[in-house]
Amino acid sequence: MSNERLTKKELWNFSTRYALTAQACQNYETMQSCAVIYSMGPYLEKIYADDPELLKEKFKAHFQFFNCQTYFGAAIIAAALAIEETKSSDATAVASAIKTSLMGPFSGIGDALFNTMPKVILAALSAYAALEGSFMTGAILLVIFTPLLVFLRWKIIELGYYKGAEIITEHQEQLNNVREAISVLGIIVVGALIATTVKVSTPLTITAGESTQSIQDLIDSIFPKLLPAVATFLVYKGLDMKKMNTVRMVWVIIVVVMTLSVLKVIA
Amino acid sequence: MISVFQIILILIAITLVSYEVLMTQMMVKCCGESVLLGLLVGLIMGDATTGLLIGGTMQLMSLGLAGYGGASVPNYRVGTTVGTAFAIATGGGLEVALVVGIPAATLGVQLDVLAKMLGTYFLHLAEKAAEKGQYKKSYGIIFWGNLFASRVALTNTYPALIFLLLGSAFVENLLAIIPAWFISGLTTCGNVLPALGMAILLKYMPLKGNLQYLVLGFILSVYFGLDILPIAIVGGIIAVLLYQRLQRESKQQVVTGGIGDE
Repeated sequence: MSNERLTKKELWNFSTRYALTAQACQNYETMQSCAVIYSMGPYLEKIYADDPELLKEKFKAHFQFFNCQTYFGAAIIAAALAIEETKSSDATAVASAIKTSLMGPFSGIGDALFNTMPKVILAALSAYAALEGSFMTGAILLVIFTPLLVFLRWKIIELGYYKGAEIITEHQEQLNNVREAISVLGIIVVGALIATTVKVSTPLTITAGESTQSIQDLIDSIFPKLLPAVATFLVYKGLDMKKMNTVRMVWVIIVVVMTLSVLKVIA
Repeated sequence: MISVFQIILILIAITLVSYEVLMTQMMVKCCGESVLLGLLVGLIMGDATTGLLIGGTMQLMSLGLAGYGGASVPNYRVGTTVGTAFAIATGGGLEVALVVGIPAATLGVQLDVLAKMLGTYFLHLAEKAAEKGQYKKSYGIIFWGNLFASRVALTNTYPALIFLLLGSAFVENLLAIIPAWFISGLTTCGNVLPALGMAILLKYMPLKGNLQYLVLGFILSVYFGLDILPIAIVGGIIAVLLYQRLQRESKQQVVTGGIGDE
């Protein structure tokens, strides 16, 4: 072990450099490798200042493919940097192995915790208030959750750097449990959101003799929000079709809804 | 009319919000990117309430649409920005925002693919500089290339600029040609499109064995008439209980596993 460990301030700078370029110049070839180089590069320069040729090889190695949810990505790179600091001859091989083996599992956990949940639950709360013409809810959520996210991200990075990759891996079981529990919260909220955000109704009526019965009223009396549930189910199944992707699905929805709307089947 | 000064402010707003969404990822997600953009563009155009209405609508339409693992999805940031600007400039409200905003958002996908292709070019430039030992230059290429020629600018700033330059006169002419059935159809589309976000979310969630929770959320909303916040709190309580159970189970597994090894 060499004594060239990063100070708290340097680790904070590393974390800032990573945040600033987390998906910089993202490309199909190496995805987020530019963020890796931009954040750990200056510290690699410092560690291997005495061996310029080796340093070039280090850069080349860390320009390889990397793709992860950005908070855990920063933590994994911090762990990789800690390994490079040992200056052992197989440091880069170990660091690369850690990067490739951890980025997959932690993308899943990170996306569930830090992307899907806030983007769905917090954004929905903020959006409903916005429809009423108020940004108060959004502002409150921003004041509560942004410091929380900054804090959690920093803790994960510290854990990755000081305790190494082992500790992240040791906690993986616990993190998986967190993910599973929080997914249940997500599913409950999505169930509620299907009922509130998806709006479809039918203007169709049945005429029997003198009386006219609105089909929508009939549906409402038995199973309110049946049509939004059916619409979501159809889209869900439709996504499984061959050659279907999100963008094609947007167009399919637009064409189908337009047609049904012109035919006055739905409104 | 949208003045040059307003266009500049709008471009700064969409660039900053997009940068935060794509890079730092710690602020905008807490209040919703479209809500914030609707508010900012609304303030710039002098009608924050309309901005919030459009931002909130676009946010609900795009809820759950996220590019997992680097996939490209419709860009509702551009949709919200140009939709809000023209809705207020023409006085046409939400309908105008949807007519302009939905197509603008969908165009974002092709641009995103293009931006990621261009990213390869900057990657190689940065790699070449590093091979020659010019590390400062390498960082510079990454930072500035990212700012001006990557996903932030190419898929957000530039398309917004082009739409805004086309001007409200163009949009008004367009609206004059478009028949009424088309506009009302598009409004219905706006109401149905959230189904896509929900369907995608369910694809990424462990729905197998958890279908009862989906029904629970639906029922709490439809039959109990609860808002999203109380439902989220109920969900949170269930999540805590489930987490405690899972933790207990993992610990037991570790213990029995240890005995088995001996």
